[in-house]
Amino acid sequence: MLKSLTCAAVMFAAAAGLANAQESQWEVGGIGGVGFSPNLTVKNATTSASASVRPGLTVGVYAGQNMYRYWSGEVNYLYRAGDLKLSGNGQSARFAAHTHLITGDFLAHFKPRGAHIRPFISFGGGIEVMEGTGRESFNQPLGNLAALTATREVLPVGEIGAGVKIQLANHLQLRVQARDYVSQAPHEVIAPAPGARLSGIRQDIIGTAAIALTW
Amino acid sequence: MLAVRFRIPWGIFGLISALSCWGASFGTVVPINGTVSDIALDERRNVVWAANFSAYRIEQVYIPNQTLLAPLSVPMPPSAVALSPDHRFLVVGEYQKPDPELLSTNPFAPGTGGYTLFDLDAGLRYDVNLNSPVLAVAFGSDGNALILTRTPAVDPENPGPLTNLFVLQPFPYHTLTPIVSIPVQSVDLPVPLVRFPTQIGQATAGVSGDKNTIMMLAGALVDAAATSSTSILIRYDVPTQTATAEEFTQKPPPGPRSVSVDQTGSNVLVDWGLQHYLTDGGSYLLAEFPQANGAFEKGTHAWDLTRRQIYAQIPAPGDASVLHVMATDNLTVSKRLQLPEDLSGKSQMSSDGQAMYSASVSGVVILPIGQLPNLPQVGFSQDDTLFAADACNQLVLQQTLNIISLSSVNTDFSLSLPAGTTGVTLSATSGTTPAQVVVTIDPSAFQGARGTTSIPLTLTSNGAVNLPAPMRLLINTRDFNQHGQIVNIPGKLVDILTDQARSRLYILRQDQNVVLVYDAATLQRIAFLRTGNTPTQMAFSADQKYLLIGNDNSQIANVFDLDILQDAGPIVFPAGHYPRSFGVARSGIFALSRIVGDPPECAPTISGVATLDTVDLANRVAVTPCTLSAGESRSIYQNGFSTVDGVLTSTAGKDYLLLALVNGTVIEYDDSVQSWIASRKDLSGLGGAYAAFSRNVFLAGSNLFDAGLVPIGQPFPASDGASSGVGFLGGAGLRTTAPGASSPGVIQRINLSNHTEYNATLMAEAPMTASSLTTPPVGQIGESISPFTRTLAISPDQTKIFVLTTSGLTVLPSTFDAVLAKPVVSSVLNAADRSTLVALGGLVDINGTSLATGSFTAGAPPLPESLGDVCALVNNIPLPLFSVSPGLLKAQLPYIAGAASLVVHNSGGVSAPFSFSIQGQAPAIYQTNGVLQVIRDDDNEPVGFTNPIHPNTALTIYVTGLGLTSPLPPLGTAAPPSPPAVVATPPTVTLGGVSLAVTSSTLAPGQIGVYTIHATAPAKVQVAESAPLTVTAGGNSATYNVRVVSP
Repeated sequence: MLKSLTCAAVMFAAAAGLANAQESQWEVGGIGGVGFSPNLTVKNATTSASASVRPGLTVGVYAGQNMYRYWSGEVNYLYRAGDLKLSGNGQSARFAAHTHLITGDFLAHFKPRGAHIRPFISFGGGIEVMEGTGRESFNQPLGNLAALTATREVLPVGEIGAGVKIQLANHLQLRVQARDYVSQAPHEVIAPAPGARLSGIRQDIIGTAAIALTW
Repeated sequence: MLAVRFRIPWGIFGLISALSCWGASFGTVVPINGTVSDIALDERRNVVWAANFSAYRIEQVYIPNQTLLAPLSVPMPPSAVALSPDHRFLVVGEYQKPDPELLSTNPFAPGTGGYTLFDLDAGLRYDVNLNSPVLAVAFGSDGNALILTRTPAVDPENPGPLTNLFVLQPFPYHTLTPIVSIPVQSVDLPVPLVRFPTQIGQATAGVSGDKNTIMMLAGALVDAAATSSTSILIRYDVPTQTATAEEFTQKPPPGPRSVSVDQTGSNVLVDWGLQHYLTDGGSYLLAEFPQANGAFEKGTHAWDLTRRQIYAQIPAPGDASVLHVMATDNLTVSKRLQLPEDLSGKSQMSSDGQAMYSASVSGVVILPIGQLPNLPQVGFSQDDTLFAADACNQLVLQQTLNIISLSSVNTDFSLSLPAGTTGVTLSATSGTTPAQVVVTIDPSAFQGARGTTSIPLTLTSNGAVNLPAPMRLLINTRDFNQHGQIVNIPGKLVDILTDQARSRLYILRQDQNVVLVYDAATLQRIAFLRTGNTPTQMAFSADQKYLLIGNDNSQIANVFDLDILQDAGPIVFPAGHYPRSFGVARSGIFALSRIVGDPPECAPTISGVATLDTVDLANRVAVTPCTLSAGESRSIYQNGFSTVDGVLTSTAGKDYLLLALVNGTVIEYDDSVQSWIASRKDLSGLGGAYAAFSRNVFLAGSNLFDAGLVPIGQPFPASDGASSGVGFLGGAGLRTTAPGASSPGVIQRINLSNHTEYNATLMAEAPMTASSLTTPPVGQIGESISPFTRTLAISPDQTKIFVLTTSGLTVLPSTFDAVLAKPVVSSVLNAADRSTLVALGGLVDINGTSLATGSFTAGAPPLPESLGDVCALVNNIPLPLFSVSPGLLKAQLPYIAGAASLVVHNSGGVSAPFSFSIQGQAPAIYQTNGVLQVIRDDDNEPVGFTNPIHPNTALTIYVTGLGLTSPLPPLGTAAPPSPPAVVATPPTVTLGGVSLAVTSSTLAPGQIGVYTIHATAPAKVQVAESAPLTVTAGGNSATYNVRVVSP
């Protein structure tokens, strides 16, 4: 956990430092969208099941600075709603959960600063705080593979994405983007049972639209 | 009109009688100064005329207030009195004329007597002298009186007719008509002190309900001691004015001197014998009182034509002054009533049946029969109460007895047990009916018996007029290797048979004179068959159509048609013969009869107290040949036996019979020659079971006999116990024995080839034996127990064995001796986590093999100490059992610590002791199907990988082995909810080495041996997939891994 936090802080500081090094145009906006996570796999010697975060509404805020003609940097916070789900062998278990994503990102634009439409790609990193909030049960289905647990887990997360910024007015910008947040599998909220293994890379693919004020 | 006039006095009389009976006796005594010889009821005048023999007068007992009105004087001692049917004429028979001379040497002339005829309506009297004492007087339906005198002495100087039976016509002309001369005797006056009229005149009369038959009983001999067995019975037919007389001999003597007649004269109770008259004039003894002492001076009886009952006081050993209410067909006693004093001589019922009037030792007793439903009477609601314990069960057993009123009046009662009785507690020993009394049995007091202990519970009452029979408390403490299911059947059960064709079971209940008929498959009772008095043995006819029953107190054998279960008419035996046992061969039926009186005339003269009678079933008669059997191959053996105690039985094919006598004699009948062919006496005595297994093997008691009746080898060992029953099943014999009345019974097979017994197996209780069937005297209820017993029968489908046992019947499987493995204990583990540490009061799993024959689970607490015929003892303390199965017993340990030895009892035997140690405390958390019973209070689910412990999680931990509590519930009982049973030495609980806050540790309310610990996880926990949760108490701890997360 400590390791994950340190890594995220370094990435955020790097992004902020780059932003400060340029004469900038600022962006502050709100984000809304939908997240989707590919399944993970949990299995033991005899059976397996899929573990996933259900698609869910994602909202957040961001603040960024166009530091260079083609480069910018920004800080994002996303709240990703999404229950946990285990399914396999004809059984399934759901468990209320959500995720906080805090990342620092670099954006490389394909049009120079001041262009009306600016496609971009992004990359960055930060932390993901996954929190199980459901009601635990001794009789949780597929408990022999994994326990969906009402606990909190912090994971380092990396991000890549792509999108486009459209300047709607002098100080109003629309952004449409898709980002893929990648982290290791959450072994505390989705705790593999003794003898079981939760494998795979957790991805959270979030498509959003954002409205930002620019100046 | 008459009824109206009597209504008010009867009401007053009933009240007075009820009050007067509040001294535990029935009836009111009207004392008379003198000696009453006879009575006559005058319902028109509401008086009883009582002949005061020694005071020369006829007393008037005024019924409504039981006072004496002015008497009628007579010139001679009045020996008899009778009232005409129209209540107008009173005839007083007079005995002998006194000589008024002071120094007369002949104070009473023997050849004198007479009568006085009182015309009560006209106030006239006629005194008539006769030449002989008058003995009895009675009126018939024609309004005339029959007068019996002693046979006059022959006067050589004036020879004349010796007529002594006369008909007196009182109206319109006072005429006396001689009828016939009958040799009758009596005792001359004066007599020694302490002599009573029934011992002097020795005569009495009885009249049928239709008054067409008059019966008179008189002495046949001059019998100053009044002990003669010979008497004269005169039967006078009123319409034809004909008399017949029969001299008869009885043992015991024919006392009391009382005659009671039914409505038509077809049944007459004479002294202690109930005689049935046939239309052809013949008669036979239908039944007799079983234990009459034959005394002339005490006792009486009366026939209640309204209720079809007989009320009788026939003195019997052990009885005080008791009136028996009896059946009119076989004298079965249905009720016993305490009399205020002894009755003596004549009794008479009122015409409406509301009262009985009796001459008594001090005057007249008035018995308000019609008031009985309103007089206090008490009884038990059942005959027996069976307590089924076992060798282990020390839990007290309780049953509720109902003490009921047998009338509309509640009354007091007291209960008592024999002195020195232990282990039996009554919730109350006295009270008022109706009442319930809880009988508590401490089985430990009877553990030594292993069979059934029978304890009489006596019921008495100060207020009740009846004498209730005691109840049998039957306490069975069988061990589990004792076989059979006990079915309680009260009464004295003396014989048993199964009906192969009809799948029935017949049991002979002697004390009630009935055959109990059961469905052999379901043991549902389907019929009662009324027998003669004191039935002794049953037999099937050769064609299996009829059931024959011998009776020790009836001159008949009952015959029942088994197809319709109806009486098919009795077999009448010769006078004085009482058939006790039957031997049915293909070609003939024999009966061993007790005989009273002279044996038949034979050459040479035969003697003895019993004979072998030949039965003609078709004609329902039996005869007594001079040899054991008649016919072309007449038996070479003379008839007549010196003992009545014997028994007959036949082979299954009815081709051979065995007659065994208690003196050791055995006799064999061969049906192929239709003769008794062998007789030996190689033994000094015989008794017990009997059987004719085949033509080559017979059994009597513990002895086998060969075809020539020579004993085979040594008798079966005496250590088997008293011989009881035998049977034949699957090619082998069966034999039951009883080491003691309260001990287990023993059943074993007999190899009929090598004549050895094998596979001895214990029964749940002892089979009946002659000894155990014999009880203290029971008065006229009677018993006649043969030294030979038949107590075993095989079910028609050959799958069950029925045995008459202490409680009634025990049913065994025919595979009773199937080898069952002995129980073996392999481990004792605590029931929580199956570790070997166990603590006092804790729950354990007893593992092993052959621990039980099936799976059984106990019901609601308290837990039984035996279950499914299994029990377990630790240091001889029985364990409460939750469940039993072949491999596992779940039980609670006793509250003892230290070295322990466990044994398991079941039908296979007793296990070898298993040693283990019991800790003071040895905590172990319960696991149910592998789930640790640590419950999160927030979700009420067990802690587990998917339900981990969080910081501050409140937990309830279910454990065993926390030891003593306060209060401490008795073993096998549920813990109380309030106040809770708090653990005396609380445990500690840690999680990952960090102590949890324990808020309480108690026994779980409503559960047995299960403790709960309430604890809370600390605010800061070490996250771990597997953290140790440890419960520690008494130096022992148990650790289990749990998942801990944070938060």
